[in-house]
Amino acid sequence: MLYGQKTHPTAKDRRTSNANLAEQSLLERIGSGDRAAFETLYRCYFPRLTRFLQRFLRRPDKVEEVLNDAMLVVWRQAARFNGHSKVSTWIFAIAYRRALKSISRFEDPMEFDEEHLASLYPLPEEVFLQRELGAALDRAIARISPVHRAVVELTYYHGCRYQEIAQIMDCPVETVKTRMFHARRQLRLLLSDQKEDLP
Amino acid sequence: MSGAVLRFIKPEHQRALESLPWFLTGALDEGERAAIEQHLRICPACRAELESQRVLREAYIADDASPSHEASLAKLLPRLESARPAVTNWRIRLVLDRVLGARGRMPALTSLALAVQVGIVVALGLMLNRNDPSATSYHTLASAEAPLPTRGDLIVVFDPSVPLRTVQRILIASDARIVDGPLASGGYVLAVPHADLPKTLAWLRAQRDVSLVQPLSAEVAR
Repeated sequence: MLYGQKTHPTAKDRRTSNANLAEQSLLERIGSGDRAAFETLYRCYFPRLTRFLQRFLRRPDKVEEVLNDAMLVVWRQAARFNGHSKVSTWIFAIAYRRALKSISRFEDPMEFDEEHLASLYPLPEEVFLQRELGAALDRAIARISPVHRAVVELTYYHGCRYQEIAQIMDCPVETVKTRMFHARRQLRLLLSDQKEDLP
Repeated sequence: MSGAVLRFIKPEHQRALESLPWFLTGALDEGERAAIEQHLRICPACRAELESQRVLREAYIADDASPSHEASLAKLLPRLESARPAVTNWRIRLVLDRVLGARGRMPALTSLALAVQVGIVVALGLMLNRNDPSATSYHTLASAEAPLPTRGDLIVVFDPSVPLRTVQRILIASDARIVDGPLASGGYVLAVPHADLPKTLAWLRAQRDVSLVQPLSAEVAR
């Protein structure tokens, strides 16, 4: 058995496919200018896109701007959705490209400014172990590159398949796996450094 | 140098190691999942790595506050007017693809004549879509001309904090069944008695524990 080889669709695959039809229906209505359908789709995707862009951009002041730009593209291009991917994959790919453009315009590399990040994501005075690990992980995530962050976020939080991530990021599946592998290795090293720095 | 591409076959351990994140999230095909399960039985290093990733992921996805969307949506809505949706659909696109795909082999004058014809076809297509009541029924973009069978009437998003018994109460009270979901967006597709659809829609919208209700039929949406 080769890894990555496509097998028969599972029950989960079929369920996901059926569920995707409902979102395709919304897209069709948006394509004909239905604002109510657009608002529905916006509200459905807002939490997931916000989370993705927060983690990917590391610029809270840019998240809303990029998200709305991406959804404006969805509004304009809905009729051109060709059904070759899931609706969610298509929307995330748009958001990813808009975010990449935004990153290229950043004048200051805020993502590597640890002091600023500490002020944005301050540790509470009393934290449980899980929260401590979460905060340490947050600082570590800020240190890895945006493309590595995107793969980690889409995999761990959004539960995307590596094939979907390859579509979103427009790269080969092997690149996705390699990026995830390196991201995990970097995160482990960064967390290990923080552990050594503990008093 | 023959130019032949030699395919690098990764050792089984490395392949498993690279796929563990998706094994952990249940996002692998059945065959891949079975292969990794088999490898995990004989590889303590991968078992340890899987456990390490489980802890990492739990910390990663924890403490996720849901932001409010209304303020952001309010900023975007005025921009929609000046950015009208691209008016095209898959039927028109097929015609355009056929013509444009062959354009490179035609004289310029023929191309121009065809472009005019396509313009007329597009205009007629748009008029038909406006006049034909059946054009408002929905089908997938990738499907053939016949519409797909309906698989539900509404998309509903419940407040994530409500307990299961509340969801059950709402479903029973509205005589609704969950026929699909959860969707990627967290919603569910409900089937309700068609005669009561408008009334059910209004009732669901009035429920505090329901964040969002949207009919799948354009006519009901209006």
